[in-house]
Amino acid sequence: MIPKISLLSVFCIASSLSAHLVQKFPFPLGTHALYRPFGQLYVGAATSVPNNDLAVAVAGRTDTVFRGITPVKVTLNEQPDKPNPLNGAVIDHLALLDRRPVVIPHTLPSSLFLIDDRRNPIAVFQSVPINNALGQTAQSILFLTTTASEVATSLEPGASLAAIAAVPNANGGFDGNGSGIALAAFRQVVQDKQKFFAWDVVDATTGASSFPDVVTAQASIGNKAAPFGKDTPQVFISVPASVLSSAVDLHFDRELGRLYIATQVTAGGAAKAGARAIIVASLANGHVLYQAIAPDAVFDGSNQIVGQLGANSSTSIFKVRTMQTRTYVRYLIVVGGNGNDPALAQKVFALPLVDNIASPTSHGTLANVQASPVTLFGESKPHRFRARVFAVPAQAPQDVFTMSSLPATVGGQATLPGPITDIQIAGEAVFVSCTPSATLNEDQLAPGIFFSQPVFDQLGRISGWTDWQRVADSSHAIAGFAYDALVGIFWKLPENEGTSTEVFRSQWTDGSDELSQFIAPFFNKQNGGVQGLTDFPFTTDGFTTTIAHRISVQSYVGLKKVLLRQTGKQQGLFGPFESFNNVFVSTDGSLNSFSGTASNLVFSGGELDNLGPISSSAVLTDGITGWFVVAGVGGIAILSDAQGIGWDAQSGLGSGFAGLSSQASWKRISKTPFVRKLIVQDGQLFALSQKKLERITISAESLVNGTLSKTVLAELTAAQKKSEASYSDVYLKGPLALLATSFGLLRSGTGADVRVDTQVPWIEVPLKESVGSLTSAGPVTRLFGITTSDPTAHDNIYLLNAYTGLNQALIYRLIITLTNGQTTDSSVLLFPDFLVRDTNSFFTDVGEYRNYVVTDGSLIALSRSSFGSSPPLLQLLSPTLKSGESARMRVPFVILPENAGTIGLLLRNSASGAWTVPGDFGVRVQR
Amino acid sequence: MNLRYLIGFVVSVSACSAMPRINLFRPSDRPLMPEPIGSSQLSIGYEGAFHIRAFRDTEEYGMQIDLDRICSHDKKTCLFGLFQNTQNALAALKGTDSDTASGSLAQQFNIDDEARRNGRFRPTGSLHIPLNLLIAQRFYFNHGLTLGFYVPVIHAELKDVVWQAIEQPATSEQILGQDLVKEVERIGGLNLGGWKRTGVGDLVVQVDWMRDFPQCRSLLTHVRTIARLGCIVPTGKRMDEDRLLAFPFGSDGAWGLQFAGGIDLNFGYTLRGGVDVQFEYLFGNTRCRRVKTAPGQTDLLLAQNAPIYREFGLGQQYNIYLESCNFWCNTSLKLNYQLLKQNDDRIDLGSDRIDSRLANSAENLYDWTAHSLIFMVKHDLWKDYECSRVYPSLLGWIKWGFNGKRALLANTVGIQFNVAF
Repeated sequence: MIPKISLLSVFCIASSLSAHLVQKFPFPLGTHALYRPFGQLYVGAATSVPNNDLAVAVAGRTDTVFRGITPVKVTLNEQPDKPNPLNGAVIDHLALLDRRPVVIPHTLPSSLFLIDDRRNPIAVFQSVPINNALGQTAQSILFLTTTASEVATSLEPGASLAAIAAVPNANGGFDGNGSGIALAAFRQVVQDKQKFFAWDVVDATTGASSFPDVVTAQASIGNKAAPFGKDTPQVFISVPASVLSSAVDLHFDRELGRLYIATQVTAGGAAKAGARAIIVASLANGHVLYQAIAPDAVFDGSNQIVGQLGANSSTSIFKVRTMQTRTYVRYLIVVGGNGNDPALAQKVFALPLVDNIASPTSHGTLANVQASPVTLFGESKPHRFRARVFAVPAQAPQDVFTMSSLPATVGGQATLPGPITDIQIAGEAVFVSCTPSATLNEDQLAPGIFFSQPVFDQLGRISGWTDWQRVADSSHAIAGFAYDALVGIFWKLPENEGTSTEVFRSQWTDGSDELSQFIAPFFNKQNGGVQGLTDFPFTTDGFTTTIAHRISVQSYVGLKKVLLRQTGKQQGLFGPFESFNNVFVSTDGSLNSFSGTASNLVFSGGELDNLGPISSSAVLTDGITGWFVVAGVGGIAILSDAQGIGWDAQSGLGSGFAGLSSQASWKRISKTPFVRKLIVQDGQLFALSQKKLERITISAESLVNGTLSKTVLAELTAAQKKSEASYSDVYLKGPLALLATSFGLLRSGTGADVRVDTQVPWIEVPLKESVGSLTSAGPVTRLFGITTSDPTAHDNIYLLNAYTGLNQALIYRLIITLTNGQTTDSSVLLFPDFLVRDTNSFFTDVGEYRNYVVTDGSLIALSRSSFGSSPPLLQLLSPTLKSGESARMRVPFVILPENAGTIGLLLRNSASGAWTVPGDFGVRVQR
Repeated sequence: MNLRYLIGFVVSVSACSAMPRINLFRPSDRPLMPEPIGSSQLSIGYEGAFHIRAFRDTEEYGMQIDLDRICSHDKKTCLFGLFQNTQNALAALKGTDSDTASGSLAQQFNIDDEARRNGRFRPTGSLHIPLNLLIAQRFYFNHGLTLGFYVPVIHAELKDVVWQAIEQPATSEQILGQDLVKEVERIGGLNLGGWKRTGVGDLVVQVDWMRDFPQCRSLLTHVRTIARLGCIVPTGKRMDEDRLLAFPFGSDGAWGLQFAGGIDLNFGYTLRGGVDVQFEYLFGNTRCRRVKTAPGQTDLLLAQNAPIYREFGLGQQYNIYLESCNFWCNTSLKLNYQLLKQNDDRIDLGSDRIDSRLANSAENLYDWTAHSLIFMVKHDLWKDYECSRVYPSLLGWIKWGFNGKRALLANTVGIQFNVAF
């Protein structure tokens, strides 16, 4: 008899998790900056190398090599063919002024150099040495930014451009006595009847230029920093601060017109002393005018994040950024908090900001978190939506978040594996990179790049944040990164023994990679390829919690086939894992002769043949036993042995699928046809088919006895069946269920609990202006949920109202709220997305039909299987897309083969953070 | 009252003609026109098709999407490839609101939609036209004037129709799509099987003017000019919108006018050549028609119908021939090239619910052409003009439809008996 099952080592491919290496430099890199509109990354050298053209280098999105822009000879200050002071230099600071890099070399540590590589030969503009607040030449610059460092679109000609520098005092400190903020405008000046571009380093206190006045020819003094230190009134409360660190971070929000200065500060020793670590400044007319981030009265010693009241109390803010959400409101994003614990370098908080230019004293400062944002509409009909702002400033302690406020805690309840090295805001998501730290890495996770996205309440305010999730196929210490959100590409500068010499750029695989080659024989195109892909992170219920044996899994399903891949493993730290040389292949749908460890389990045959096309999978546990479950056209099957055991859930499924019963085989537990989705909640299985939603309660005993408890929660009526209605998606949150149907969105009734009730009423949730029908609710196809780890917090849903019949699609957004764990009449609300006043409707019009929507806060990805003569597409909407704006701008996220037909749900690998998309072409991974 | 008048009367009340998308002869066609002899002439012809193929358009333009890029691009195709290689049953359900049965059914394919040729079918079958009876009655008057009445009678049959899904069912939506043709048939009120249809075509009443110009030249001995003006009376069986390729036997209910002219040149005593051009203008009409409502829809599966005004494109017929007259025993041989062409039709929906541009992108509204070569043999059964009162003659032909665009090309044989009094 020919054995049907064999343990094969069919592939012996070394695992590689690196992205596309753009360039390895022969010297360490220090600084970097991304010009977002063009996706150009600029890097600066950290070591002096003679004749180094690459001291500042640039590469675009598709470039295969960096181009040096620091040649030996340049046009220096409009003088042609001059020796370039930047050639071979160490670049201490690099920022972008629109699309031109501004750098400070180590050899000339107080001079600004603007490189204009659009000119040929390259032009360099050098400033005079910048003075500190005492008018003395600064010995160095602590931090450099510009007024156009993070622009999403190219600036118009003539836009005001300036560099902002944190200048130390003579001791190198930032605590006063000469330290301050210097301002240098890059503009066209007139001198001796000559017009030319130059740096104008102004007196930041008076705004006086360093060039003579054109009209009066009166000499100006200029070039003086605005004093800043521990005795700056906007820093201290009651008495000057005792310590103010020179580790400073600057961020200028061009739209708010405000500069944010972050530092680490310790209050004075007096009883009512206090200090703020974030200071706001306006830069009108060359004046640096400091503002307190919040009034003194706000700080009462209860950890208000950006400041603290209390003698010798410390507040440490390491990095500062700003963000505007898709609901239009603005937030301050800070790394750090109250105290001086090193773990603060892992903390990120989001604080609402006042956006009210009519009130310059409060504009850009902390907003009152208890006040509702103000929604602004046009004055004339049809009263178009304009913006939403926080208008009320914080005045009292209860008006601001503290470090224990969940709405302020970026990253939710998860902790990062190490201190943050870099931070970037894209859309409304926060991305951070970190290095490992044994003392800070409680969860024993590999370092890398992580992101968190907000969830919102019905007023458009952030009410919580998702847990940190790994992104960008990163599992190494990252010195710096840049996220090109327009096209969804990460640039990574990994840290290796304290230095960084390589630049990687994420890139989609093309089918020739190891994973695609591995999958292709099992899921070929003729059989529909990969028809479902599900990720099970290491936190999945039923997986082991023993740190040394943790596992994460992805399941690939298709026509009569199931592949379970181990994707994460503890290798010192828990991180991505990929192996193709330990494969267990079953052709009779059983685990007979499974030795107890394999990296990949491939099943076909047996009951899987009766399922036909399989499209969904789940991991289920009742707390005692764990199972893999799959479903498709022919029903639902579970992987269990004769005793009903999949694995012992109390010890958990371990690395290499350790614990899976070797006697297990797939057994059909339901013949409900056309099952589209499986969801596990609270140890119960919810199965959505085209015509009904079932709740199935499973135990080992009930499997053996065939006495599974099945409850039909929703089923199409006879009239609906006759009219060809169908269900297409389901979303669960505790007692509440949402059903996406061809006749609109339904929710479970008020007070009903889908977890226990046997009869569940369903209520239509109206979606104003939906596409599909003029007379009734349009079809809802997908519900993409954004969930925090706090079960009492809101969930947000991106809802796709898409109709094939008229080739239309809209995205709606929903806020899901439980009140005391119960479903109420207000449990499902639309986002405050308006086109015109009083019409709360969709978020954006997608235009043509799309089959899936996915968002991580930065990107909004929409896909569609092939249509007409077009191959499948996966497109990104603008990362800055906001409520009520047109979604016309779309860029391809991945290019699929011309002969590809279908595309599935874009999914992030929880272990590596890499985007993965399945289809009849197999899979493509963004590495 | 003699027989000829009786026959003329019968013909005049039941005759018709027009331009269906096929190269069948119509009784008023120039190649079938006998020599004018006597005061009247009756012609009865029979044409039978022994092989029918479709020629489709292989160009891509405008809103026409090449939905069958994987399929063959051969111009010559099987019968149901007339407009598209395959038929899209899923797209047939589209174009309506989501709360209709067809919209809801289409929405069940909300993951892959039409990808991987979901819902694509390739129909097969055969069209038979065993009978095309061509009846003409002509009355000759002074000054070269002729009044003619023309009508065909057609019997056609579509047989052995089978709808086969293109894709093997590998995904859930492909499984759903296997029976989609039946659903389209049910929801759209279509009958996607075979049929048998018999009926008359359009009556054409035509006035001809003919004049001979003898030439005193060594080579060119005679020139004849012909002009024709006709009226198309829509008596023909109309297109059955609910059936596959159930083409009209006439102008699909439209009144029309014919304008034609030609010139014949005689060289020596036995060689004749000539050209003839005929234009047909059909007046638009409104009736309930199948309409394209979604981009991927194919012309044999249009599930929606609506009252639509159709403006017909100009019909054209060109004939060029060379004839050896009386080369042996009153027998003539003739080789005729015929080009049938109709310009684009346009429809007006009178409603904003259906995209007019989309509706007008249906292939069946675009122009069509048919090229045929006809080999004809004519034999006069009378000998002496002076002594005869009846002048019978026989015309036989074989026609080879060799090229075309969006047209059915039939290879036919036929015979026509003419008798003049």
